[in-house]
Amino acid sequence: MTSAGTPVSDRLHVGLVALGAVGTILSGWATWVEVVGSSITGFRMAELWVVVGDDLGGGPPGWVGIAWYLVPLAGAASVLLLTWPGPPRARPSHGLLGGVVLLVAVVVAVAARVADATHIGKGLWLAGVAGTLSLAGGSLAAWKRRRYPNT
Amino acid sequence: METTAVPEHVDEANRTSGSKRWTLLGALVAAVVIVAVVLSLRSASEGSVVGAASSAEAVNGLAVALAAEDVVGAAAMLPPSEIGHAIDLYKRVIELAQKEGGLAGDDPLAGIDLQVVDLDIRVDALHERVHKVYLVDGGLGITVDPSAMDANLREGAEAVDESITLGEINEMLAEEAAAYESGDFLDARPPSELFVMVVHERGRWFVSPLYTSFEYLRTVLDLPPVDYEGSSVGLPTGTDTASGVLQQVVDQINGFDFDAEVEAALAQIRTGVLVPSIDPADPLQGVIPVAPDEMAVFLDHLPMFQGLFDQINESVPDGMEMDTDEVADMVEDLVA
Repeated sequence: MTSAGTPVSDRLHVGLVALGAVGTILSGWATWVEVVGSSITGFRMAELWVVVGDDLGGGPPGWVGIAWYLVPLAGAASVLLLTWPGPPRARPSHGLLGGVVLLVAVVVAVAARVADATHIGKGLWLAGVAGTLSLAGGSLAAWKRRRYPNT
Repeated sequence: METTAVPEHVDEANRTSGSKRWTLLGALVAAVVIVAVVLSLRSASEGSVVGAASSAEAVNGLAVALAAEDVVGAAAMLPPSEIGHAIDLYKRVIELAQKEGGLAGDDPLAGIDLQVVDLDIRVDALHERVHKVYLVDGGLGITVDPSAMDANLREGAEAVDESITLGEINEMLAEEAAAYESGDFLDARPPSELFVMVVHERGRWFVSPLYTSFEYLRTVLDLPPVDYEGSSVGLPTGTDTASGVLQQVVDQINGFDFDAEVEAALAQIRTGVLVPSIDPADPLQGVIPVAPDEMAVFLDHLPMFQGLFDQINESVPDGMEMDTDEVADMVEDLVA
């Protein structure tokens, strides 16, 4: 235990989840996909669907765009779960949210690689890393809860 | 040493207060994110990096970009299938021009002011993916200020200050068009009004230089209207790999029976058909795996040219008193 009464391992989980949440949120305003003559931030749904979903095919129109909405919402939900009720605490559900963000990032990255004349942008990398951090933080918290149920 | 005991209820109150602060902070951050997401989505739905949400917006967007001498912005309103890497090329050319001393700054349009004001347009939806946008009225102008031009370009430049309205241009065109009488082969019929063609591509609307050029050509040559439904026929299907494209081209070339094709063409010419008829589904299908977006414009307009070829087949032999057998012999000699 630390002097503040918070175990170091808990701080690690919280740190991972907090970094993941911040990265997830920021990725929305960063470039996800670069296409000739245009850089597409996470919010450019039209282009995202057009250049990625169109080439990927399958599923109803716009499904990539709809899936992407989960990313910033997952970031907001992560922050809420982290601090409600305070003080900050990593939870197993953070792992689930991180997994969703990671899944969306991987799907879009694969689609961007498949589509012609598109490249993966920094925002997509950020989302992938952020999802991984949240997944790790949440999974560690879940593991610790199972291992030490009374802490 | 005397210690002060903290009552348990005070400690509990501090913890509760701290928890509330964290909860409040978390809720605030989440609320800010949600508001920002909503505002960003609204902004994204209203405007986009490339193209426009409607044909009218595409034309207006292009006009605004031109008036701002914004080359990149103007290119964003042109179809990606037509301009391709032109913007990258433009940027490289600017860099090269700077390196080679052709340009002192990075703006070759410095000192040149284009004006497009009060644009009045009318949209004619020819097809769900092709709109004809008439430029009804509005002011066009250009001013050139040599002193504000790039230092390496201003030499020899003269001051210019010209303007005209689209209404004036349309009046002139309407007079010319009204005076036109359909007559000889290849008579040019002027369009009665200025227009641009706007196409729906990859979910957005773009002003298409190619469709616009073909439509002016169609109008000038008085050819039949284009059936835009037809371009879905014969679109190349592409190959699975990049090397497959080359292989397909090589196979096509190897499989091309030149002698048989020449014989067939000569036989047609001897029957009086100088330009053979076109089957849009046949000659292009699979010949070269061109991207469908880029091929669509040509497939759209092939049938239109059939009308022109029919005119050639009817008019040239008669008008020139030409014996098509002689033409065939001439072609045969040339081929030989």
